[in-house]
Amino acid sequence: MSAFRDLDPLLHSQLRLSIVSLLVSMKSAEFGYLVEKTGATRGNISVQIKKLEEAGYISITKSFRKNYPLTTCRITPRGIQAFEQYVDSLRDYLNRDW
Amino acid sequence: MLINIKTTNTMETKHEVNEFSHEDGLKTIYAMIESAKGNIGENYLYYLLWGYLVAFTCILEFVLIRVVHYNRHYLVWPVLMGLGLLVSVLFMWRQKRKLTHMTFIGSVMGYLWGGWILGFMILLFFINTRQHYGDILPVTMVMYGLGIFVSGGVIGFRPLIVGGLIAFAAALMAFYQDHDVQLLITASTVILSYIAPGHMLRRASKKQKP
Repeated sequence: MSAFRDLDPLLHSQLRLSIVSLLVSMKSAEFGYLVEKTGATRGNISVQIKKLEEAGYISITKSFRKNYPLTTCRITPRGIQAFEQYVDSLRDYLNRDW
Repeated sequence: MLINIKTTNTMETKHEVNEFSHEDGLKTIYAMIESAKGNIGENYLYYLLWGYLVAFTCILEFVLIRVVHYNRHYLVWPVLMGLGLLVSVLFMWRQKRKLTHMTFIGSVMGYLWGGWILGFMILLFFINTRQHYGDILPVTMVMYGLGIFVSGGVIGFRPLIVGGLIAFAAALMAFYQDHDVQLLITASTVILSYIAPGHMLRRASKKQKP
């Protein structure tokens, strides 16, 4: 099995990894915060958080603030586990003797 | 730190995934975790507000006792502390409106100081009911010493940890003093353990801002 295959394909994408890395270090984050920190477009983030939610890595809560829709994301225990495995795989790959 | 992700296609292709190397993965994680780091000094306003307010209240009560000889000198506490609470609630409300994310540290601090207020109210109730008025200031110092000691540990800010230790030592000393001396001890302690770290936090906060 190659080193690339060891990496979770869902996390091995810049935007999804950015989102999960942000969420892993906090309790919750609003959609606008993810847009601000990643610099990606709203549409792109919207698609990627949906994928992460479908995989059970994050949970999305929709609510309203001052009559405006508010989307809040939180990492799930499964997401934390996947992130830790991804980091371990990266570390193994980078520490490998070539 | 911002990472610009210029993905034009919202559905990432296999080709794009392959271009993202292991090193890129590490860099992305590092950049995002760095950018998500909270500003340690973001709450310096509370330290300055309560520090100056408590120091001022202690000195005012001391003057009312020793210089003015006013019998109801203790009234300065409910009036000024009530005012401080009102201003703090207003600050919190303004902060909460702008808040777009909740860090674990922010959450710990919220529970710590929320619990602190509840615990302090219960202590005040017992002290007042049993008329142990001489214990109010030392107990207050133990309580706020605990609050800033834990806060300093959580955000990794040594001046607050030292401030907490100073407050504990001052409380021990104050337990054996008369009320007017306790007022002077509290005022000096607050300058060292709240106001000085508050100003240091303010400086740290401004430095950390991009």
